[in-house]
Amino acid sequence: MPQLSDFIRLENTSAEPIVVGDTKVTPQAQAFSVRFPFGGFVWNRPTAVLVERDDSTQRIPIINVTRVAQIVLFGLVLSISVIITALVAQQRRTHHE
Amino acid sequence: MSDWLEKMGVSILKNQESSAAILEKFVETARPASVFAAPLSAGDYTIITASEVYAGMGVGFGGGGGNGPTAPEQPIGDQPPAEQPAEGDEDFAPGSGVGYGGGGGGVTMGRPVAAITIGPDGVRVEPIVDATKIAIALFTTIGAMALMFSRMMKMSQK
Repeated sequence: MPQLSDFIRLENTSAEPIVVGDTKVTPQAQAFSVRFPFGGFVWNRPTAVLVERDDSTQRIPIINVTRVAQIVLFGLVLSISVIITALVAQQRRTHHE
Repeated sequence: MSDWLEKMGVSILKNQESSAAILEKFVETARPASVFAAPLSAGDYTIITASEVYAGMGVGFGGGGGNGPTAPEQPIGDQPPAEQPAEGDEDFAPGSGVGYGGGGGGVTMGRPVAAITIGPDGVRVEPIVDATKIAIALFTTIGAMALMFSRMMKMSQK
């Protein structure tokens, strides 16, 4: 019986490490894929880089600034819309009374 | 008729095999190699570009067949007699029919998200901002808000 994981997957993957001098950098990515017998969709995005230097490991996240800005703007519209709707509804209720 | 259907079946199988091969290539988009570009070195610095990648595709196939009743050889009323199959054309007897179709489509998009710089001063991740996308989102936001505000004002005046 086919399971949901056969169709929808969220995978965290690491690319081949890159060594420059005494620094070892391992890029990491996350892939979200939806697969069907006759089609599919894949969204692959970078998530972070692992930096190994002098026996210490540091994880630097990769932030998609464009996506963050789009989400902030969408959230702004949504919240302002809710506030305006609530204010207008309150005003109409006051008028009726 | 059976030969024709067999040929059609073989053709469908071949197309399905090629579509499966395309799907396998499509799944390769999920590999990290498609996200991180090959490192570029300039002096003491090494730069790797990180991009987000979207890919979507779909294929479809259709089939057909048929072997309806044989048309009468004698004319019925004013109608002319049915055309009889030519010699050696038994596969296409009157009343039979076949059909086959297929199609597919796909899209791949990529956009750089950040540049990873490895230098003597350490590793830095510099974000790459898509100003056009942000501007489009901003203007859409302002437009939607203005439209909603004007409608709300009209509603409150009623």
